[in-house]
Amino acid sequence: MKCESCGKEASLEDRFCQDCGGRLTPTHPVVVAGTDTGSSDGTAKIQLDSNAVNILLKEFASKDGTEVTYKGGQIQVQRPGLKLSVTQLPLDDTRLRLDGTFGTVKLQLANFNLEEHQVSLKVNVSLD
Amino acid sequence: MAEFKVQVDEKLLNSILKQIPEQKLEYRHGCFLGAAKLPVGAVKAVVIPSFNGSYVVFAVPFKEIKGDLTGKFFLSKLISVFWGTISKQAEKVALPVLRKYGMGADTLVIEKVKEAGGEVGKIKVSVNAINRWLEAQHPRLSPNLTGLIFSSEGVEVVGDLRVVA
Repeated sequence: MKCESCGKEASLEDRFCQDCGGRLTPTHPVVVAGTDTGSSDGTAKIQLDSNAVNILLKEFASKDGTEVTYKGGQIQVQRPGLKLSVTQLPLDDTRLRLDGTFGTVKLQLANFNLEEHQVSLKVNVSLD
Repeated sequence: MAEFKVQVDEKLLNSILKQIPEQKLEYRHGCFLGAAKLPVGAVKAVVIPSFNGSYVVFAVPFKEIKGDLTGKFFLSKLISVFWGTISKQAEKVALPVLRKYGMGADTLVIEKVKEAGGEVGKIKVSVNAINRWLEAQHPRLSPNLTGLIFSSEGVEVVGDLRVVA
């Protein structure tokens, strides 16, 4: 990412330019891990059925001969010579910061459940 | 069918609304409550959102509009100015934003209709146009909006993904 004011290269995690102090606004949303969310401005619940999860896994996770699928509440990772089943993902309390042209959104996963026919998650959201 | 649902609670929706400048909108019990100060007086209105498959409809029942002017004549004048302002603003603000995201003028329908309960102002957003835009964002996943549920808990967005080979 480059500073719009002085053109200096800036880290994705920076919110202000280290050189000129200008505010950095990423052109695409940037996800940064491990940020304290502060007080919550509300909650969002997301549910994806197995088919939707599989479509997303195929698009974003399956590559280089590795196939990632979701079935019966398990994430299955398969590649030649390896088969791995994930039955639980301990993502509760995972914190993310999403920076974009719309501003900064801080997310804290409050619940992440792999269920028989769907994946559900609850997210505490705080807006800056 | 590959369905996804995103439910935004009332608190979060109100936090988002507070971020939008130059408006006073609040979401409560499945409706938006709006307040505006016009040159002819202050006005409060209820906006009832709904989804009918083809359009996301924001309906403003004129009989629910309250103003700080008393008397039938003044109130009807206030309602007329209020709706005129809202419909002009919707065109002036929303249309350029829609165009920026590649949606045409057919995306937005602004109309005043007579229903059993009286006159209602309606701002309708075409679901087809929203879906064309969503599909353009990620042509391979081709996300589609299939439902919008406005309730006292918040707003639930229902959609599906269709893999395009």
